[in-house]
Amino acid sequence: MRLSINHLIPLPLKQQHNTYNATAWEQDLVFNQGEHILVQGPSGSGKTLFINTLYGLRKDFEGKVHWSAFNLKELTAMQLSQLRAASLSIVFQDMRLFPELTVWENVDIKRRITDTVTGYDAEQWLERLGMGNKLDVEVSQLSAGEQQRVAIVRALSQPFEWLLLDEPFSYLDFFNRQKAIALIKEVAGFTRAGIVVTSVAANDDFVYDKKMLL
Amino acid sequence: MKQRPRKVIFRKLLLRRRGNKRLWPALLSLCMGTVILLYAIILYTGFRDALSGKYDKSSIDGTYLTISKQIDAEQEITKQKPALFTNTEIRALGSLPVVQDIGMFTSARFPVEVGFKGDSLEFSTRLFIESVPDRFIDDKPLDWYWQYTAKEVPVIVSTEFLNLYNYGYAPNQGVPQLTRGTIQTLRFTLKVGTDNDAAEYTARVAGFSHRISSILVPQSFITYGNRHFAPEQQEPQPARIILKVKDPSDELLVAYLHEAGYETNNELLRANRMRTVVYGATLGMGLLAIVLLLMGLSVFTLFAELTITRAQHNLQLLVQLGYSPRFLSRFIFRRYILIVLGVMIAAGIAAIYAQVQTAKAALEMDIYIARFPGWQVWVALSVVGVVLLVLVKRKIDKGVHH
Repeated sequence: MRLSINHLIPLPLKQQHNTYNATAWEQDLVFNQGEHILVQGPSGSGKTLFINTLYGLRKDFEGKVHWSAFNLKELTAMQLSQLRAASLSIVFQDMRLFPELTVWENVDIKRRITDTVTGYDAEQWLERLGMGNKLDVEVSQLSAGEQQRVAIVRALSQPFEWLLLDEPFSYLDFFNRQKAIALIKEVAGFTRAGIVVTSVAANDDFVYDKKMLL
Repeated sequence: MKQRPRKVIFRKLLLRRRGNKRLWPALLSLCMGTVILLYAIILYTGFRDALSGKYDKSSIDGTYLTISKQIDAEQEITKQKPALFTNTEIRALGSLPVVQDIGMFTSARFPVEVGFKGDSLEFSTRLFIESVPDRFIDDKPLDWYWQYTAKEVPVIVSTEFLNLYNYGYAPNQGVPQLTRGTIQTLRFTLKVGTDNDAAEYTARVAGFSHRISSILVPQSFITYGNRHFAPEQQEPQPARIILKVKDPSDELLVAYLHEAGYETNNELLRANRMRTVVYGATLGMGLLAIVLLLMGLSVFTLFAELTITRAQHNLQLLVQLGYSPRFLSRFIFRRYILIVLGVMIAAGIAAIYAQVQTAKAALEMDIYIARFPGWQVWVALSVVGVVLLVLVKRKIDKGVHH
């Protein structure tokens, strides 16, 4: 699935963005499936806005975003849910887990939308990220780092052609960060999925094909 | 690891139990409103059926009316011939929309004398006998026929006469009261004609009639008797007519009979008055039911709205994760289907109970109405249920898509 961006500019940023530095706004961009893209910018530069726009959470923008032939602005609620269930996955910056559910339930509720990832695999992934002994713990009891690991496994528990990662390792220590990166590379590698990562600093977590500054 | 079914997790996310106390008054109001509405329909249809004679044995006897002409004082004094119906009047009566069938009473134009000789009772008296077409007889006996060679004549007696005997004559004269069964075993002598040209038969009571206030014999006996024993051979016009009508309390019929100066049994007027009272009462009940239903409906839909509002955050997140709004809307709606079904089943059971009790109570007053609710009740129940579900579905869809 190809991602095409034409002269995209979110309305809240229209008057503010720095046209000299921003290589994402008001540009014609094309990303092919399997590419790894880094979106780098300081806090408040619009990284989350960019990711949320690509994910279809915001429609207050000018320009066009196409996922293959589908114009994001014109998708119905049904089409958008199908896109999110089968082709597009995300790790939100604020995780957005269900605090009243357990670790396993948070992952399982995503996994069961399509049932393409087995329960065994999902459990193994949680195990790999050090969450194996906390499957029955309510998410509200977890630290931010633990929640971030759950959010990553949740995002991987569905089929996807693109994975959007909005500062996905911000709460993780070095070792957990490496484990999470390895897991994401492995799972995304199976289907040659594309990855869009936002970060405040430059990094070499993935082998990036393109880097954009905001 | 605890594996819980997905619906349990969804229920936890979308249908929190907190605040459910508000649901009970709404459900109670809905249930009561529905039951009152159904009961209003039960009363309305039950009374209408009783009036229209759907269950023919009803003592209201709504279907059949016996009418005669009023006798005025001049007629009484001058001893004119009895007030008889002309052919034009009979045709006019038959053409009324409410009249389904019309039959004439044929009176015996020959002298009739009945005698009885028993251990404690002996009498002989002159009386009158009549006949009507068989289709107008309620509870027609199986052996209701007479051939001119037969010496035994079946007779049908009005239950009113039996009551007069048992509760008036017998206690007054110190003679025993008689059951229907006993009377049917008795044999009477029936002498017809004048001394020169008379014949004697044996009469037996073959049945009793609620509907016709007379002493009836088979039509063939009256025809034979009038031909052989009547002094005048010319057939007179009828003095009484029996009508089969759709609804005896029909206002047009009542007005017509009043205007033409015809008399009928008081049941008609009673039914007419009862009709007004019952229709007024059912209308009042219906209005009360609608008010209760509207109240219940508004609280119930408000509750649905509140549930959605409380679950708004989780709904939003589920949609963001890839669940379709339609799926989520259906999941929440399914819960309300169960609730509405529960309310409707409870109201349906209450309606059946109410109908059975009403039928029992009516039976004690000798009024027959159906033991189980008719289609109108089920249609009303379905309409209330469907309206409820449609309104709740719209609220849920609006909330989920919002």
